[in-house]
Amino acid sequence: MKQPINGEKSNMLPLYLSNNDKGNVKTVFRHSFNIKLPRILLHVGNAGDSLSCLGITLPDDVMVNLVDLVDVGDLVRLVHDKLYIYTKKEIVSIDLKPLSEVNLRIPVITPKPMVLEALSIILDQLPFETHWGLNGVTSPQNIIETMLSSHSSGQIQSTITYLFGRGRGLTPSGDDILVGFLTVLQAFNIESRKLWEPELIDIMQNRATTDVSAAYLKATVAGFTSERVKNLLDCLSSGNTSQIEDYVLAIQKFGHTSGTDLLLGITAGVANLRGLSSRDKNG
Amino acid sequence: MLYTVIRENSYQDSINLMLLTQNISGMPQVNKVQVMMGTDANKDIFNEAGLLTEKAKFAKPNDMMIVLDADSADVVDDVLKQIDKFLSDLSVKHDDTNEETTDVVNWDEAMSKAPDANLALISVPGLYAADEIENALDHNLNAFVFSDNVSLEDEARLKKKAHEKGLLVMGPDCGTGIISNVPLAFTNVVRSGNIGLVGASGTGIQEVTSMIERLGGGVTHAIGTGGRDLSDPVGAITMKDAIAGLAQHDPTEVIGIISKPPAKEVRDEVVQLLHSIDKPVVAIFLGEKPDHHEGNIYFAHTLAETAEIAMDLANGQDIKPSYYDSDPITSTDQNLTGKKIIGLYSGGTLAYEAGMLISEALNLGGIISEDGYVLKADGYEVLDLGDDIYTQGRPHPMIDPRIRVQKINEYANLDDTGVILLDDVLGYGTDDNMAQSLADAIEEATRSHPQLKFVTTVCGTQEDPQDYDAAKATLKKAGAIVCDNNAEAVRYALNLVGKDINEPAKQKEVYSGKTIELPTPSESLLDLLYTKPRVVNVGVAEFLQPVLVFGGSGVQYNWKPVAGGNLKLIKVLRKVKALQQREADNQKVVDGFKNAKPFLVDVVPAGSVISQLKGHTLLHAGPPIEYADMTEPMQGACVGAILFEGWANNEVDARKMLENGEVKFMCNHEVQAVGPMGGITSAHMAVLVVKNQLKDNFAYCTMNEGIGKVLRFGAYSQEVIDRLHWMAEVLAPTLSKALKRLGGLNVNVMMAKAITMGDEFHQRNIAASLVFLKEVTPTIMSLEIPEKDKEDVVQFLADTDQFFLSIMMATGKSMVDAARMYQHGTVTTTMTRNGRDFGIRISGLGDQWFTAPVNTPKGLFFTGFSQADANPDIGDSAIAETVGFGGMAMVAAPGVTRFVGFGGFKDAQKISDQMSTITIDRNPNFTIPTWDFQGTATGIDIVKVVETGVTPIINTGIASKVAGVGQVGAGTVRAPLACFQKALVAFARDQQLLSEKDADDLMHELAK
Repeated sequence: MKQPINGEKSNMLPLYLSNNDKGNVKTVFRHSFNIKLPRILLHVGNAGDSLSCLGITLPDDVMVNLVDLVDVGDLVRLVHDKLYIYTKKEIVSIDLKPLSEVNLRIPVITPKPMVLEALSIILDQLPFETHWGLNGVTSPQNIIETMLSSHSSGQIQSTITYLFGRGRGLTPSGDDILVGFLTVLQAFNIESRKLWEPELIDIMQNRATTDVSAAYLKATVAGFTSERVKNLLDCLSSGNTSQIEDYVLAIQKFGHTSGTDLLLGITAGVANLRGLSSRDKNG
Repeated sequence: MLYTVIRENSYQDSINLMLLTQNISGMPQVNKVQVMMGTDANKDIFNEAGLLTEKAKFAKPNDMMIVLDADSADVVDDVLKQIDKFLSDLSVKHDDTNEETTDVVNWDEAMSKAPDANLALISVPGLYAADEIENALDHNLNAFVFSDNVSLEDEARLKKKAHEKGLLVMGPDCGTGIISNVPLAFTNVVRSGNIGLVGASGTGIQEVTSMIERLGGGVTHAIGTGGRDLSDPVGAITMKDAIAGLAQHDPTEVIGIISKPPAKEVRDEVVQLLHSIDKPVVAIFLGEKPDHHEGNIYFAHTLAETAEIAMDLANGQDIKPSYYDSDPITSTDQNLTGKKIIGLYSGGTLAYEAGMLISEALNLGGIISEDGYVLKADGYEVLDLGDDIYTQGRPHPMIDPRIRVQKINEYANLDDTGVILLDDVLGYGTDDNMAQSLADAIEEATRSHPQLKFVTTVCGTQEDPQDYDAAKATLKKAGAIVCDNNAEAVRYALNLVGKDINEPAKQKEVYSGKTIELPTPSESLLDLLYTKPRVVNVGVAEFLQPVLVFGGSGVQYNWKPVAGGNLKLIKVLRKVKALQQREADNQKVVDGFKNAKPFLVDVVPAGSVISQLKGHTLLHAGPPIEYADMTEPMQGACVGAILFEGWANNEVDARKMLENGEVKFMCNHEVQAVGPMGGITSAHMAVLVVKNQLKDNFAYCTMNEGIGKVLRFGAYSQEVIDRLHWMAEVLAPTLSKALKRLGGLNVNVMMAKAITMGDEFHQRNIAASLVFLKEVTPTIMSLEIPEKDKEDVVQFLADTDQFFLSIMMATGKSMVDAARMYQHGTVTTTMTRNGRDFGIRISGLGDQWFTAPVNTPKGLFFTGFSQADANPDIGDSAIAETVGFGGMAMVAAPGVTRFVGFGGFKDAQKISDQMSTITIDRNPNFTIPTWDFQGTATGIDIVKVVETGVTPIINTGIASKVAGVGQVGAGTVRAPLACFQKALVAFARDQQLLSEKDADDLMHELAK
């Protein structure tokens, strides 16, 4: 059994992992895979990618071997902080203990107008119309306006219902937008989150999206985000505007359209925060 | 008519020979054939088969016996050709892999190549298995023992030893195992999983693991214990240790136990242990019919039920009250009313299970174990065709379908037979085409007996080397009913004849007995369970392949019976090897070889430096020998020496002196001298003087006379005598003066140069002779002696390619005599031959000789001569090999290899590589460019020689067996093993490791 070490783990994991948890490998990608455990969809990725709040990262060479060995359906057990993956050829063990824990909890940020202004300028320059995932269905501006004009429970429910699970891919665009939006609501402790979050939880119980997407939405509601989004939020919190663009661009690189969709959600959240009701140019 | 061919020292493992026998059995006009190694057990088998011919009786354990029953002698050639073809195919395959793998021939090499090994996979003949298990344990390896025929006493002793060392002995007679998903021996390929098995049953494990795999589960460890582990004397040592290990193996959630009914007390202990662990357990004690589950232990009745319960436990599901359909699985076939069920099994446990179920269903009185029958009652018969009675001297029925085809034919022709049960066990090690062979037999039988039903089961997985689905399809196509598992097949058969099994539901009861504190598994055991096995594969090479394929690592130990299979010697070896100081002593002796500082300082009359050469005394080559026992070349040389010394004027008088005992003989070796071929040295013959500055000791050797008629080959004509006079009166004084003027010549320097120029100093010395000529000629030319003498001397040296041979011999003698001053250890310090005996001395026993009859060299012969002309091995020149030259350094002289009868450079390298397996060190003074500048292999250890059976190979000239003819060829010859064996016994006696009586008995045995 191989015992990879050196890597990172999200500080969200202890809340969702228990000794003797049992699950299966759910999906296998080129460089990573997900494990469906009773209370979390654990993402095992390589160090070159962003650490997910739902997961761990391992050195690239270790991941190359792991991805080669694991298969969808492989039994997985967590015993004494070790993940045992029962692959066809052997049991692979991943010891979670030595991994460095990374704080991915969404920070509470006090809004600073200058910082928000700088962020908005960068976000406004992003090519949402051409790079987002709902192209041809509606427009980014429509989405933002719809979200900003959702004030009552009914309106919010209607907006979430429209977005939830909408779009293609592993994380549908509508979900990514919601993740971005809710992250901002949480970070700046905006009052309306108390309406959005219960509505989302309610809808998730009745409607379906992908397991991966559902897991990220739940993590967001629980107050966790990915390493790249956390970097941006920390930057906003510190007031250092010089690095905002780098962090925004890093987020944009997520997936095919996921990064752009997430940033659209963040744009809507920031607009909400700044009390802007409309935008006069395309994103 | 029986024809016998004995191939000496042609060891092949039993599986290869079985396959070979099978291969040639089908040849036209071959009535019967058997090929086996010449062990006593195999001779018994030959005897029983009526094949033990007079010739075969004398075969040794390392000899291959081929006995053929054929109507015509013409067939013998064809068979031998086919054997060569078969074995050469094997060896070619071997050669190819040898380039890349790390095959070894002894334990020391194995541990050196695989220092982190944690498991020995042992598949040697049973006679030697106990020793190899012990060796494995002594090297701190767990052992998986495929071999059978280990005594119960040995099994108990070795398992106790293993337990005390924290190691596991799986077996003996362990046919199946999985360690960290690596299949061992005859095993199915099963995915990893949270089920761990411990089984005292080979095919029981195979049936359960295969079913688990087919049901979607997985098994990471299936630890075989061997069938007798749960007996009273052994006390389930392996099973209990394995359970304790699996209890601490986090990835294992469910433990399965498979065994035939154990001894009561042992069963109670095992069950109590199982109750003491916090994991669910499924247990089957085949033959017992459990009526409830208890605590964490779920008792199964059949192997299939075992697998299904294990799966439910592994999936966290509730255990069902029953895993059997309440109704029969097929309807009665009216054609079969009153007919009997016959089981013809290759898997022992599957046969046992079938016998048990049929007996229970029909109340036939239970299982028996007689003559291969598991059940034989009321016409119902179940045979375990893997039983010893069917496998002695022929392949197991999982490898070879013939016995089953034969039995199918026999039983199909019996009127009572209604259903025949068959198994097809897939996996590594088993036959690839078994399904087809069985299908052919089924089709043939059903053509003649259409009412006959065949019910079969295929034990295997989709991942096995054979195609599981195809095997099932093949059997179905032949008309067989193919069931998913053996229990189902037996039930199907019972249903066909109107019977059924009775399987009441089982409820879970609370365990109220005591529990014990779980033993803590050793680190070695946990290492075995948590890592991929790192294997030393002792024996059948095919077993290593799946280890490597499934992520393990390993080294192939090409096992041969140690010490020629002599069990007494094996024990002596172990005791000698356990001596703490021996290796250090040996190194000290070999350091004597390596640190030698030989200088050629003079050439003088022998009598002037060898005080023993008084009166009518002659020195001879080899260990002590009297004139009457000498071969002709040595006797001829004696005549020549007498004529040279003038003790007689003619041959007749000279021979009279010799025959009348008027000449005293001594060995060269006893007076610091050596001599080539006959080695006959007299007082006035000139000898080279080499001084070893390491210990300031001297050594002497007569000078090389050139080629043609020469004394050393037994010639004594006037031409020979005249040359000897010239050498003593002109050559010697000239060289003496030159050497003195030069202050002596550093021999190491000359040899270091010459070895890089293609000399190995025994068969080829031309480079060294030229280096010597280069060193001395200018000085000779400057001497104040007659010009003609200068001219004659230089011309003689220039003409004599082998002149340096004698310098090397004196040098070698000076090296060993210095090293011999430290009288400890087991290093060979002398090897020499007198034409009758090969004699050796070893460092720890001073001047004692250990002798055995010499072999006759084989090689290439000069035109007009053949092997029939060759004299047996003779001469002191084996001093070359003693210190690491000659055959030991064959790779240095690629030019020699063809001359001495080998194919080419690679063969030369193989020889030197092989020689390095019996030596202790390398001599950095003589590095060989074609051997990646490794030094010559030096310091022959008798322990290594006896252990491996590899004896030193000696490059040699071949003398005519007729005196006076001279050299007739050149070749190689092996030192006989017996002298090394005798030396080992004497050493053990000297070290008080062996009683006088045991030593005498052994010496007597070796002398035969």
